[in-house]
Amino acid sequence: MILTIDLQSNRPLFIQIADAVKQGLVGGTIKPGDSLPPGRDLAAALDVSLETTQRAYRLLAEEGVVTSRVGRGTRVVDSIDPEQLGVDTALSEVVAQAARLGLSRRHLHSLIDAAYDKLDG
Amino acid sequence: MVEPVQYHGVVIRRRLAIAIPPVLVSGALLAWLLAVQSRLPDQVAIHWGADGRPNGFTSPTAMPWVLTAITLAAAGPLTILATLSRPGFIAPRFTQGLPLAVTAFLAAIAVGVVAPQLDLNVDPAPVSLPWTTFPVGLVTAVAGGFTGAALAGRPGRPPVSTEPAGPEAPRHPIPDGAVTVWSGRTPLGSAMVVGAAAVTLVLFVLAAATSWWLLIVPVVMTALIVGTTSFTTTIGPAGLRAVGLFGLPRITIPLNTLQSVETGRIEAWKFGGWGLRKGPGGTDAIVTRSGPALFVTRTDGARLGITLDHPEQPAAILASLLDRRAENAGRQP
Repeated sequence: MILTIDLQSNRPLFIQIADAVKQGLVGGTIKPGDSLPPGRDLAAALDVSLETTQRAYRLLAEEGVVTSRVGRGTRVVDSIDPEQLGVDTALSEVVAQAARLGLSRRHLHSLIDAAYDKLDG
Repeated sequence: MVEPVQYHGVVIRRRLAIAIPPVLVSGALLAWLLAVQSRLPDQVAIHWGADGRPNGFTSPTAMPWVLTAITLAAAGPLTILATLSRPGFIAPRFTQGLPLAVTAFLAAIAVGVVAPQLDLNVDPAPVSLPWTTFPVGLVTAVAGGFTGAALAGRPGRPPVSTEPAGPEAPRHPIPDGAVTVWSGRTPLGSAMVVGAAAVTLVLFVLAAATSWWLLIVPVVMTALIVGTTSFTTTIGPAGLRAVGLFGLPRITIPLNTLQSVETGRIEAWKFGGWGLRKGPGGTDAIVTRSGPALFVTRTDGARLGITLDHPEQPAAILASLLDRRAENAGRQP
């Protein structure tokens, strides 16, 4: 399993770690059912605090990407669809960027409609 | 930053600290045995049968030399091996403390054997081996082991390096401003599983046929086998870390003490089997099957092998991390 974490982002490190796991799933370097390294091992490898990696795993668990069980570690959910996850992740980024630009929800919907029309046409 | 000369001095001091205490304890044992020689009966019991009756004797003149020779024969090779052992990854402090632990154990047993026979005027003395002899010996061994490890001190810190990886090593691209982490588990070897299951089954049968409380032996052995043959290896900017299933054993190699990385092959029989092993050329290894492996060499020459499927990927990532280390130090990979 390979994780590549972009440290140039301004977002908190635990979110960057969670994003790296999702990008790994989308990119195929992580597969459904794969075990993630124990939080303390990942923290040691990255030279960050254990709390950071634990927050990242908690975030992924809340999003339904992984399951964590005491004694069994953290594993990617078997039933996850990497392609769907890719769409969800891309959509989250689009919405975040739209929010930063001050675009309204209605405006964003119209942009999405236009994009679909272009695809169909 | 630890200079090579400083590190060499630490190694010398460590070796003296391992070698001298067992010699001193053996010398003290011999001195005491010689001092009490005249207070012993003409036949000194030094061995007992299963019925608790003595069945092995020696003369008071020979007794000090016999018991000291037994101590030296058992602890001597261990002391020599531990003293001369090269830097390694497997239980370095346990290795350092073991010679004094064994010496202390045998010295305690010798004292426990001789002391009850002092000032006895009957030949052969109908002396029973006190039941406390072995428990006291074990406690003395544990105390000796901790003392030996403490005297030898922590293994010296390897020198740090900022060298890049060798030009022949493949690389895995790491984008600027990013870090890469690799994690994988040692593969489960079928021969190892079958062998471990067979041994455990035999132990269970023997224990069940003997005494129920002996069942603890195969349970503990199974836990040890599982714990030392399933490792998760994680590689990242901080270095390499290999951790057993239950969190122990744990091997950590900081990136700044890594000299080189390569892939190769481990043959389990050359390492004497599976688990944590010391093999040819002083290489330590985590062996779960014969096959491809990742090898890393530390700046003090210690070498570690880890059986992994597709070790090329972690090797390439480590090589790129070494390059990044060199760049950060202002050196050209």
